[in-house]
Amino acid sequence: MSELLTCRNLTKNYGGLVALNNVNLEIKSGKIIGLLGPNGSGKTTLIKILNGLLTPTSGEILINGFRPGVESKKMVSYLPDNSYLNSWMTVEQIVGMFSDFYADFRPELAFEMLGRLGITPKSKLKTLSKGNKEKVCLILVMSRNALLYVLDEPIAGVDPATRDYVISTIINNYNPEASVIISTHLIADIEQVLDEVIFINNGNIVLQKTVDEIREENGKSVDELFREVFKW
Amino acid sequence: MGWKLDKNRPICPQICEQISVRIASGEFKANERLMSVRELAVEAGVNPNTVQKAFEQLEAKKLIYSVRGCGWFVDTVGSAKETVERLMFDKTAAYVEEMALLGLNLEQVKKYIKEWNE
Amino acid sequence: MVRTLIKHEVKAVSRSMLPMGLILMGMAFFTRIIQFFESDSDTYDIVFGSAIFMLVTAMVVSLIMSVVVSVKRFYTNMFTGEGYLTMTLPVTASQHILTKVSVAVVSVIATVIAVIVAGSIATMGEVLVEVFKAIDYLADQYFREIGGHGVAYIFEALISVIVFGASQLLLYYACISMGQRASKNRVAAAFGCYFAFYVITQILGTMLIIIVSNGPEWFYNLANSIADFAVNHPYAFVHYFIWAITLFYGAQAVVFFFVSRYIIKNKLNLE
Repeated sequence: MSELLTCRNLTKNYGGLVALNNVNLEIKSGKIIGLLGPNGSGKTTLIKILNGLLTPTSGEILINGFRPGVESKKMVSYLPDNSYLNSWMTVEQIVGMFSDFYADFRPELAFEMLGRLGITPKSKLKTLSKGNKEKVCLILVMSRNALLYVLDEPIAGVDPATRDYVISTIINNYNPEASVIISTHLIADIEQVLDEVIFINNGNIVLQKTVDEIREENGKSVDELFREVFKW
Repeated sequence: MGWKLDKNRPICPQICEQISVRIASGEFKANERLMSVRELAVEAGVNPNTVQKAFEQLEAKKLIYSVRGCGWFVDTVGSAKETVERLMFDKTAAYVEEMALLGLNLEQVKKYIKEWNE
Repeated sequence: MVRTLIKHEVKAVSRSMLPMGLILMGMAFFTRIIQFFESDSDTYDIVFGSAIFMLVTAMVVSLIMSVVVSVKRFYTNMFTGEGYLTMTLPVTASQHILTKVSVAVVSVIATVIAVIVAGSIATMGEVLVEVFKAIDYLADQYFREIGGHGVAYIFEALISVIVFGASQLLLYYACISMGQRASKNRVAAAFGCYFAFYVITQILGTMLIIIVSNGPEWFYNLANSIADFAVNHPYAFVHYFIWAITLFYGAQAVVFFFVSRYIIKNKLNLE
């Protein structure tokens, strides 16, 4: 299996603050990976660099061999951790926009998923409930046939039913050759779907292992290990 | 019936065990098509790769077989009953051995089980 | 991809500008219609007066808005929450900037045309006929005097104005882009950049005047030869003059474009 994502000595400073400290990382394709760490550990910074929204202070990041840019953006489907869609647009317009810009977007799939939620294409984004807005964002991201899905805190602040919806939508729609990176600080909710976890703290990669390795070697759940590592 | 998974143990053997139990109990009938990897992953809320691995392990035990492009089917070559019985025996043995470490003999273990049951 | 980008940009800008255009046209028609009820009463004077006032206000507001909407759109679409989508589209920084500036220029031109149309609607009838007669007369005089050059001058001047407008928009874009390098108060930082640019150009201008007034030899010679040329070839001189202005602002536009592009490409800092 090839390296889908490679970080080499990746460092990001904000003024005097070190957000990422010499991160080295490799992620293969066909995996669901949990990027786990407490708030402010550097998860979002790493994700933003990967998506070209921030530029690293030093080091490099390669997505399927490309630095963040037009080519990498064609391959990465990104769900930010904040609302980023124009709230005056209708669901239909946003789907149209994604189809226009992303060659790998599958509008029929998006409409099918929206239909199952009872969201009509003509409804404006701002009229939707918070939960439905989040679901629309997730549907858009998962309707792409991407090589790498990057979901920043997709289950933070959602009720258990929505959480299950999020997890099943991810499993149902990602391409088996693709990888999914899910960043979260709520491990217990998501650890069963993960192949691999990356623990990050204060900008350092603390650990990268498969979840089975963790369960076998330590005889405990990822969540328990996480709490131990981060002493919660 | 849902899937009850213990997060402290690797998920793959647990999936294997539970599918074996379902075949042994007759819930999954001979030559019946199983759920797809993805469907099972969604239903159990686990990683599709894990399910794939579990299916491959079950295939090795001849409990299920795959038909290219069609999916997975319950095999009759391997005996699910045997597998489950083996499993039950192993688990019971492990439990009794653990109790023995606490200094209990078999009679005492039986007594505790009875008490717990009441 | 650029066509897609332009399509979505036009949609977004027209969403803000079309209602303004409708209001403008509505007021123009209103102003025209009440003229049918012309009378000597005070009521008519008041209604007509306020209609004219409102129409002129709407004209001014829509012109200002056409610029503000485009500049604000650049900021929100690139550097706020929306930027998370904009900046992850498979599009280059150059394509983003060029799309934004060209749609903005078209939007301003369209607004100018809308204002002229609104004015024509409001004055439809005898007044408009008089205006056209006057324009016709002036044009006649103008072309009689300078002939074919006149047409060329108009085109050259239009190009010059458009290039000037584009350079101003690109200046605002560059300031906004530089402003987002700040860790907070990014809008204030953008205004700060603009102010700094203004001060620097003032200083440079003053220095230029000082140099000129203390005139070194070569500058006198240059000025003299230009003046000679202007006297001997007045028509050609005007062409050169307009093109010089266009070139001056065009060069600025290019510099501002690359400033924005550099920052978006290499120094993006989305919160």
